[in-house]
Amino acid sequence: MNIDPGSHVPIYLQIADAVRAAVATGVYQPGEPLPSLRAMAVEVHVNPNTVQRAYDELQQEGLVGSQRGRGVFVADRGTSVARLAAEVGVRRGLEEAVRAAQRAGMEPSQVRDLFGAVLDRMIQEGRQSS
Amino acid sequence: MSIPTPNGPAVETFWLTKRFGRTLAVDNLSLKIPRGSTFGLLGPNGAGKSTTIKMLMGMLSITGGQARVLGVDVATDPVQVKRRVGYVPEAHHIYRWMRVGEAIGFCKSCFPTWNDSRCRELLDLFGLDVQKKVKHLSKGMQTKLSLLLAVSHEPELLLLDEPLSGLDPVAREEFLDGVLQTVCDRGQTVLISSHMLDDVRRLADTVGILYEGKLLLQGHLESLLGTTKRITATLRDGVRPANVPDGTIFQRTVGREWTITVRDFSPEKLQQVRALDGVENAVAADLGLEDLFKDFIRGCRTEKVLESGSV
Amino acid sequence: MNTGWLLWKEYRQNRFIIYAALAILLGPYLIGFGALYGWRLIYCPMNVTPRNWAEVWWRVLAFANFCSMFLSLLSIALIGGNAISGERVDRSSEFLFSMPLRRSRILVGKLLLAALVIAVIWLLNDFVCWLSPKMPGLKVPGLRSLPLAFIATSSLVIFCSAWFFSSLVTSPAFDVCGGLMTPMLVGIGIRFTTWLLTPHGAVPFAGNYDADFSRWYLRVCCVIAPVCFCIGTWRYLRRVEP
Repeated sequence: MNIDPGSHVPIYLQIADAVRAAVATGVYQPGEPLPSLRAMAVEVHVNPNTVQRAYDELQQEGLVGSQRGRGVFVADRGTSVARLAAEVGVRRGLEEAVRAAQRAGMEPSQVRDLFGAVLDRMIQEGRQSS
Repeated sequence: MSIPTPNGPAVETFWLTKRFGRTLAVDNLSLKIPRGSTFGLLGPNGAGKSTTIKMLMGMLSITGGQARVLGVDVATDPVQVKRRVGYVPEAHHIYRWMRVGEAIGFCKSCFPTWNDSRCRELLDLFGLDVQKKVKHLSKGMQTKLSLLLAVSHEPELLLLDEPLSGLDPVAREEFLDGVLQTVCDRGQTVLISSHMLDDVRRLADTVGILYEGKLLLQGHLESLLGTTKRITATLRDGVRPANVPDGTIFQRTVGREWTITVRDFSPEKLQQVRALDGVENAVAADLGLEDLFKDFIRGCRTEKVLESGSV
Repeated sequence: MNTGWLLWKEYRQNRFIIYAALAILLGPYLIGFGALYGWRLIYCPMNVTPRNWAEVWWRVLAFANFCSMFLSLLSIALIGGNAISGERVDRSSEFLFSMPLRRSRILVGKLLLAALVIAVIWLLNDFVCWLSPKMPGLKVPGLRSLPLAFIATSSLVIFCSAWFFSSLVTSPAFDVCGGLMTPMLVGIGIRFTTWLLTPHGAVPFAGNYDADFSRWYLRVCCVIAPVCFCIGTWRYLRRVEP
């Protein structure tokens, strides 16, 4: 799990993104516990309060549930929630790209065309490599 | 005698002032750090960070104002403050002729609340050899020993004064691990002053920026980052508009590019900028802690900071 | 508790000074007896023997004792002058003062060590003084006739003024010199004052004021020493900085 403190994305969101990705790809299966606050804080070298905030965020989404005294668990429908919620992270990335386009003074239609071209190329590359 | 208040803030200063001869090192500083939080004190060299921390530790006389640490007035009872606070100074002056084990024994004899198991745990984590003499330790090892001595008596507040400067990345990470473990286990309050903004961002939940002895701002780190934005725009004639939005910290023009950093950002402020004469392509973007810090300091230096920009 | 640690720390901080003090204490005796032994090695084979061996012994001992006593003033200045500024100048006091120790405790550690070293110096020298009249076949008066009171008051004023400077100026060299200078300045001051108060026409320093001088010297020293010590201690206890 990698955190970039130099990024302008809040650290708790970075942690939430990373956990979401881990659940979506099956690193943590439904019903399994997430690392404790302490373990996670020491693992990614951040303040435990920040980890708490990330877990709160995930709990609100319904990705994880907490059991009193036993920590935080991946919810039964965690995997599907994670896939849905991954959209959030993707959207943030796209926003960043659109902002860059705005700075460069590109027209909306130009951006749309570019996005389509990039998507097509990457899908093709994915097919070739697999 | 001052009566300690168990639930008050960990650190509270009222118009704290320190003067060295004619120079004003700390100027009417009023700071409040709630218990359980991790506070990052940022500021350029000579801003008064070390001076402030030393006054909080009762190791520097106070010219004016008051400092209360864990509810105790530092000026009246420095010994009690030192008993309950862990301090990692910028430069380490642990007796060079002592062995690591002896330094531990010496500190243990001074603190009634010394925790042997915590001490051993950190010795293992840091890989410190008790037989080694302090003068033969590397800078990183000395810093780690200093942290070990500062946290093994289970302090309620940890004061870290530029602990990370001069450490290699591995030592820095181990040091942060040590700090985090104590923060996690005991819910300690931490005050860390540092130039390593990335590390501050990992550790701190609240930050304050000190400049020339004055506190420029104090706030929750993520909300500060969330509400401070940098607006980039093109100036048609390269002439900077006379009025800028409220809360502008810093602005500069390079050729036709105009950059302004704005606090308490709202879409209306972006609209305001767009509505200005001769301004095109105004876009707002987030900025990292490092840029935010630099813009605050630069803004102060050029004295272009507006009244609303300073706290 | 930690008095033992503090005392040990004081010893380690000042150990070279303590070694110097021991060298100054024992050096004159060792040199004296070495010379005596050498004399015997050289001259006894030639069948040259002194008329009174006991007196030779006694003279050597007395001279060594006098030198050791006189030089101990230097050790005392070193101990007093380094007591406070010594750890300030190597900045280890900053570590010490991050510990929750009362300043008075630290002060007691310093005084205890100084008292210990000075006690050793004085006990040995005094023992020699005490022993000397008991030596068989001795025809000279006891060592007490040496200016013992003079050396004692000088030691006192040197220690106290060095202590005073040490709490004031963070430079052990300055503090040691300050300690050594104080009795000299007192002496010079008294000499001039005595001359000033004698009737007109007296040639300066020609007369014999010795009795007066030593009486006044003792008095002035006994006033200056406690004043210096108290101001130094007060300054140390009142300070916030290490």
